[in-house]
Amino acid sequence: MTQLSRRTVLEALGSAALLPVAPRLALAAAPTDRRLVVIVLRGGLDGLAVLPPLADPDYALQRGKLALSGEGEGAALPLDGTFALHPSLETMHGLWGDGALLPIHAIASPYRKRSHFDAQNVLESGGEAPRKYLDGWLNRALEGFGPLPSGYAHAFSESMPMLLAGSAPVGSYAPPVLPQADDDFFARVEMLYEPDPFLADAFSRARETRALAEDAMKGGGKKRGNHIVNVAGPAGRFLAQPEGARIAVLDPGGWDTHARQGAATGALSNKLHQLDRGIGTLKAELGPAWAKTAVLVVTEFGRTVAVNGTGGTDHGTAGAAFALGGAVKGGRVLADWPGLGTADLHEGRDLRPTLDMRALFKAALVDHMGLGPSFVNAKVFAGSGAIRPLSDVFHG
Amino acid sequence: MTLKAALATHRFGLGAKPGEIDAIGGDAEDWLLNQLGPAPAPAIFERLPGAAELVGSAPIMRTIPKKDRKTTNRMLVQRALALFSEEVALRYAHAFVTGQGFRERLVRFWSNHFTVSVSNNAARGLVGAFEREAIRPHLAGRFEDMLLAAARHPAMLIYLDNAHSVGPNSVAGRKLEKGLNENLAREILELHTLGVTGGYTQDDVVALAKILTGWAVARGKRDRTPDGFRYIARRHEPGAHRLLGRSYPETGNEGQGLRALRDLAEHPSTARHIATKLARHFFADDPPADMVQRLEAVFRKTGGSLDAVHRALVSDPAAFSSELVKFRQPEEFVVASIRALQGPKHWGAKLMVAAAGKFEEQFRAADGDMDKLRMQRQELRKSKDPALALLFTIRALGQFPFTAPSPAGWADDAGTWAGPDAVIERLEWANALASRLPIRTAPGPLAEAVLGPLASERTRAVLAGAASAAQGTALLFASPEFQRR
Repeated sequence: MTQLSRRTVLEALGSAALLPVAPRLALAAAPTDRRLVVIVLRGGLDGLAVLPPLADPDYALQRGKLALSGEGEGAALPLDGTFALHPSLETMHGLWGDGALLPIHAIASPYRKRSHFDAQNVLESGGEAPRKYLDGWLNRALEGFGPLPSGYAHAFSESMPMLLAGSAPVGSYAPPVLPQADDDFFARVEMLYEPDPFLADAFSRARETRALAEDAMKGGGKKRGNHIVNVAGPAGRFLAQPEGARIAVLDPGGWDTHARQGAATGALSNKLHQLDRGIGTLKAELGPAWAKTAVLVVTEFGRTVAVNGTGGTDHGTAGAAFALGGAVKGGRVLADWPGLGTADLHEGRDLRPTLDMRALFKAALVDHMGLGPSFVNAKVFAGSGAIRPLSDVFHG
Repeated sequence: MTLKAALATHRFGLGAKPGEIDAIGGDAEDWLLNQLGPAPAPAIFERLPGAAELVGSAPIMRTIPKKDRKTTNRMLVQRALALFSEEVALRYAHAFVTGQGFRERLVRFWSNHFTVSVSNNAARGLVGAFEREAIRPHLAGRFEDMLLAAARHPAMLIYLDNAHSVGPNSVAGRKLEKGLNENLAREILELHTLGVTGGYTQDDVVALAKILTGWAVARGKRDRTPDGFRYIARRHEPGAHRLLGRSYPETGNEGQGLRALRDLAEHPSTARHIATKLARHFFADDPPADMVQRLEAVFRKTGGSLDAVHRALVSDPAAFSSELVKFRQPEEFVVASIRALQGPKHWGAKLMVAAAGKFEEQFRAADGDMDKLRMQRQELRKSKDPALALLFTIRALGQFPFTAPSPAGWADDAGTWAGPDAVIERLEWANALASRLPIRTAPGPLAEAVLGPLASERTRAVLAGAASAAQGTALLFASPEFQRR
C-alpha cells in the first residue's frame, strides 16, 4: 500500500467534497423483463403439513396428531382431490384458482443426510454434495446474462444468502432503521475505502441500492429482520421498478419445528399464515410485473413422517416446494407420489424423494429467465446432465 | 505505545479504551496471559439469579387451578422478558468497562460455540444464566467440563428440546404419548464436539439421544437441585446403547451420559473441530492448516485443557501479525466503538446498569398486574431512554445477544456480515452515535489512543480533514482498521 502524504489526500478530499455523490447510472439494459424470486425457508419446512396428501391411505395413521382433515373446522383447502393445501395458505389457494400456483411434492436436493447447514449448502450451492462449491448457483447463473445493470440481483436479508454469494456483484437490502447519514459523510467514507477493494466495493454497491431504493421504498417495514412480512413489500416494489432488480432472494427462518408444531392451528400454522401474507404482499407490490414473475418457494429438506416425542417432527428428506406467479403454469400438483406406507419411506422414516430440486431450478433458469441450457449444464450445475429440467412449468 | 500492545487489545480484546494500549506498554503477551486462569465471577452480575433459583421458583402448572393458568403463564413470560433485558444490559455494561477484553472474547466465543437462543421462547429467562454458569467458570478448565456443564444446564436442555425427551421403552414412554427428541444429541455431535465431518452417523445421533433421555430440568421447590438439572429415571431409555462403536451400559443415573460426553470430548475429531473454530475466530475465515494443527496438537496433548489452548493462541507465530484480516462482527464493532468513547466516568457502563435497574424495578413494581406492566413498558419506550435507544439500534444491526437464528450460533466469516447493506448500516450507526454524544477527544488523538500504530496514513488524513469532531469520530469507526481486527 503506498504511503500517501496528508496533503495529497486532503487535496483529493477537497475536490471530492465538491462533487455531488450521485449513484452510477445503470449502463447495461436488463436482458429480460422476467422476474425470478427465490424464497428459501430455512430450517426444513414440513412438506406433509403444507401439502397434505389427504387421499393417501396411510396419511392419517402415519401423521397421527399432526394429520389434517378435508372437512370440519380447520379443514385443509382442496386442490386436486389427492392433495390439499394447509388451511393457513388462503392467498396461495386463491392463486391456485387463478392457475398461478404449481405445488410440487416429494422433491429434494441430492443431499441425503440431515444437517441443516450441509443441506442448505447443497440447496444453495447447487452441488451434489456439501462444500463442492463456494458460491451459489444463482450467482453463477448471473454470468449467463452478460453485462448486467447493477442491482439486477438482490438479497432481501440481513446477511448474504449463499444462493447469491459469489463473484458476480449482487445487492442486499433490508429496511433501514437508523437515521441516514448525509452525502458529505459518505463522500469521506469513499476516501477512506479507496485502497480497500472489499469495503470499497460493498460500500459503492450499497450506495447504488439506496439511491435506486429511495423512490421505490416509501417507508419500508417497521420491524427489522428477516420477517417475510417486512421484506416482501420492499422486494416487490423494487422488482416492479423498470430499473430495479429482476432477481430477488428472501430467506426467512424459523421452520425447524421440532416441538409442539401444531396441525391446523399452532406454531407452524402461524408461520404459514405469515408466509401466505408475504406472498400476497409480493404480488400486490409487483403490480403488472406479476404477469412476468415466477416465485420459487423451497426448503433444505422435509421432515419426518411420524410425530416425534415432543409434538413436532425431526429432520427428514423429501418435502414440498411451490412455483407460483403470473409466469407459472399452475392449476395442477406436480408429484411422482411414492406413498406413505412404512415400506415406501426413505430409511423407514422420511418421505422418499422422486424429484430433484435442480430440475426445478434449471427450468426456472432456462424456460423462464431464458438462459441457454448448455450454459446451465456446464457452468451452473456442472455434472448434472442427467437431471432434466421440469417441463411445462413456466409460460416462457 | 507499541504495535504489539495495540494488536493485543484489537485482535484479542474487545477494542481499546483510551489509555489502555499505553498502560499495557511492552508486556502485550503478559497482559493477555494474565487474563487466563480461574477468576471470580464479575461483581456486576451478582444480583442476577441462577438457573437453579429460576427453575426452582417457577410454579408447576399442574398445581395451579385451571382458571389461573393463563395469567400465571403470562406473568412467567413477562418475568422472563424483564430478566432477559436486565441480563443483556448488564452484559453490555461489563463489556464497555472491563479491562479483561481477551477473557471476554473467550466467553463470547465459547458462548457462541454452545449457543442457546431466545428463538425458543421457553429458554429466554435462562440464557443469561447459561453464559454465567456454564461458560464463564470453565474457561480455565478442560473442554469436557465445559461440555458437561453446557449439556446439563436447564437453558440448553430446554432450548434443544431435551427437557421433554422420553425413551420410547421407558416407563414414561410406554405410559404417555411422548417420545424421543433427537435435537440435543444431534447438535452435540454436529456442533459442539465432532463437527459435521467428524465421522458420526444417524444411528449415533439416535444412540446419544437415547442416552440423554431423562436429562431434564428440576421443577418447583420440592425438586430443587444445586444447578437446576434433574435426572428423571422413568424417562430414560433402558439398556445399553452403542455410540461411535462403544457400548454404554445402563447406570441407573446420568452417569451413562456423562461417560458418553467425556468420550466425545476426547474424540480426535473434536480436537480438530475446536482448533479450527478458534483459529477461524481469531485469525482468518479460512485458517492456515499448520495453525489448526498446532492448536489441535495442544488440545490433544493436554487432554483438552482450554487454558493451554488459549495460551497457544497467544504464542502462535501469527498472533501479532500486523495485517488485520478478520472482519469485525456487528456486536464486536458496537462494543469496540463504545469502548473507544469511554472516559473515566464510564458513561456506557453506567447507562446500562441504570437500564438494568429500570427493567427489574418495573417488573417488581407491577407486582403481578399485567395492565400496569404494559403501561410502564409503553412509558419507558416513549421516554426515549438513551440505553433503550442504544439497545434498539444494536438490535438493528442484526446481532443482538442470544438471538442467533440456529444452534450453530453466529457465523464467523466476512461474507455473512459484510453484505453491502450491512456495511452501510454500520456507517449509519457510527454516524448516529457520534452525532448524539458529547465528543471530548478530537478524532485524531482518539485514533491515536485506540488504534495507535494500527491507524493508516490515509485514515489519519481523512480524520484530520473532517468537517466536525462528530463526523471525524464516525469516520474513525468507519475506517478499515476499525472494521477489522
